[in-house]
Amino acid sequence: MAEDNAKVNAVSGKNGEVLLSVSSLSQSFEGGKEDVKALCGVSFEIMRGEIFGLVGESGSGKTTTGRIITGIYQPDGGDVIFEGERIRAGTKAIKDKIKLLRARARRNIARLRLYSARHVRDIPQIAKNIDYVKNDLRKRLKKLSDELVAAEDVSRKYRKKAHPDIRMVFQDPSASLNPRMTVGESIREALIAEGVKDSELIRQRVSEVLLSVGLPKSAASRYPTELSGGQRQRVGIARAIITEPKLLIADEPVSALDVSVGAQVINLILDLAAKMSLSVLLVAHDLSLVRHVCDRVGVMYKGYLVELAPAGELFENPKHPYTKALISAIPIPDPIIAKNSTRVEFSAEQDELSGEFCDIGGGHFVLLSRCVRWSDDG
Amino acid sequence: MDILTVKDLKVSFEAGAERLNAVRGIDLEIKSGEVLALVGESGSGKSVTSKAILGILPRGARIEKGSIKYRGRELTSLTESELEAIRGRCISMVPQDPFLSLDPIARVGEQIAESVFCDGCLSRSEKRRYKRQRALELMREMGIVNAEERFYEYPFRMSGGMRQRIVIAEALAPSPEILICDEPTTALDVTIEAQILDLLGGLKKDRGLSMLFITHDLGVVARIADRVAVMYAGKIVEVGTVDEIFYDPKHPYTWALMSSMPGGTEKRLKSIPGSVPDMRKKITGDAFAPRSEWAMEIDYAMEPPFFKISDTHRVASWLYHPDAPRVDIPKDLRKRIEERRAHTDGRG
Repeated sequence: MAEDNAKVNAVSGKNGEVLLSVSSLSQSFEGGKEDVKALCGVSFEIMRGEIFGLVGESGSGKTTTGRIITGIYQPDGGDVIFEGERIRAGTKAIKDKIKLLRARARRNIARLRLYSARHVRDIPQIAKNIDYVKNDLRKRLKKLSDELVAAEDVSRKYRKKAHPDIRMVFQDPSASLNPRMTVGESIREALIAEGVKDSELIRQRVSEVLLSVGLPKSAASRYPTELSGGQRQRVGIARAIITEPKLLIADEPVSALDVSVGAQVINLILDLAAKMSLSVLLVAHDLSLVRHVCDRVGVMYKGYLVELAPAGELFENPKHPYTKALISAIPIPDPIIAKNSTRVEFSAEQDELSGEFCDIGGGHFVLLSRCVRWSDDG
Repeated sequence: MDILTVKDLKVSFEAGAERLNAVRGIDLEIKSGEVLALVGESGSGKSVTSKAILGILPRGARIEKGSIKYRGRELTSLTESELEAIRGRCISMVPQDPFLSLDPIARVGEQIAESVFCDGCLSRSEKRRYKRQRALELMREMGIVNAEERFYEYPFRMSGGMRQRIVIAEALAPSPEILICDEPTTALDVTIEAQILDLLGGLKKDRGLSMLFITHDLGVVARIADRVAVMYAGKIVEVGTVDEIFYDPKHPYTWALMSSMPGGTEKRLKSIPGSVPDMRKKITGDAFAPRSEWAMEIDYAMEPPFFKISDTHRVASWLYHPDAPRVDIPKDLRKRIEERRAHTDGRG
């Protein structure tokens, strides 16, 4: 794992240290007849101080990824490692694996027994084979159950618990603030949850964060309905940064706002990130925004991470057919370009969505059916 | 020829004891076969304008003044039943959210058929057959494959893009001349948005449909519009052809709006300082003046009239008065426009 990280850093030219690492996350939700697969083996890393963008359309799993990291959802499988510590771990996938293994061993033994009934002469050999199968099963089960115990420990320790260093900014500031609480009450909740009791200290911290998000101290005594959309989102940011987190997960922070107000909020996030050396996971569907603001960008489609690259590289040189289609659909504010641009269509074939996440150089990763050396003319 | 003209329209809302002036006197005209985009941020009055045209203003809102003429016929003085003959058949609407605008318990095909008119039909059964057939034709025109099967489906079984196609088919069923689209792609994903815009662009070309297209997204405007009117605080501040607005914008608000889109070389985005004015209070002078770095004394005292830049391009700002100091479009915006231009030339 550590070696891999070093490699990624070397090629992407990012000398940062890994703050958050997400590996093979999988998640499914119950839905009607079949479960809906929301995430299929998503892995990526976020460096310290990095602005990492996650783009994709509705249902691509970008929000689910953010929610697993914050601990709102318990993943089925995979790990989240934050500052070297495993903070989320999926147990369901391991349990499924154990079930599968048991069933397979049972089937093999039954088959061997059936065989022995017909071929009496071979009984000693068959008995040996059965023993082998049993031993093998035991060995594998031991390994898996160790994994399971470890994962269960992690999930018990952090169950439904927010990590004080990972905080979230929500999409709709009017829906995510309690209308019956003053702005000050909403902001200080996180501190109280962390066990801070000194009310003078709390009041002081609330004024500090209000100032740092560009609101007057007096805003603490106002109610969310008295504020404009942009101001409410500033409150949302204030309550996220009051615990001085290291990672901010911003899920569509400006999609409910007007362009000019959204620009103010994005600038605020950028400023805070620089000042507090925050890393930001920016989940967004606005591709031009992500291109402009993020260091690296991951593209998600139907639960798969299909491409991951530094922002400039991704938009200039997209490789996955879905990324190409997505980029060609961005509305460009220029009449001549917009009216003459050709669009790439993409309809998912299953083989384009499974396979390996291949490094094609320069910190650019693409989901390909098989990793081959990527030549420039290909 | 202008098929729809709006003159000095003023709309106000009830807001407690006072009245909120949502639209403060706008003029616009739509020519036959043309797409006019109405651009502005929330609260600028663009949706209210469209609702006033259709006579579907919400309770508590009223037209204070002004006229709306469809082919020379005044709409503001019509009775509800007279308006009903205009709505749908002459002017139809595609609302924003396809999840809210369809009846959840009616089959989509029947919803489309419901809005088909059959003037020459004699018997009931003939009428029914005709309506069904027209609905199927429309569904196919909207690019829905296996229209026959889809006809009997309920909206909840369809994706957002598919529902918006159904909504557009429904709006087109009575064969209107003007389609009012109120943010028809805002609720959709980019790739679906692109498909719907292609569809609407095709309708304009094939049917010669006129459109009033309301949006806040300049990218969408660039793709679909022939002419653009920029609204701020209930007034139109600049109007021109799409090329004039995008390549040679004149009003400080248009500059600010374009500059605040992601792009350019700086990582920080350009934002507009301050916030929109309180529309309950009387606004004197140029509503954008307090947020504009080019504001002059007169901007706070007197409302600017329209100054003519070209036959098609008008701008409401004192900066274009012959006595005003000459101002140019901000340098970084000019650079951005030129860079995009160079990019296109390189391509084409």
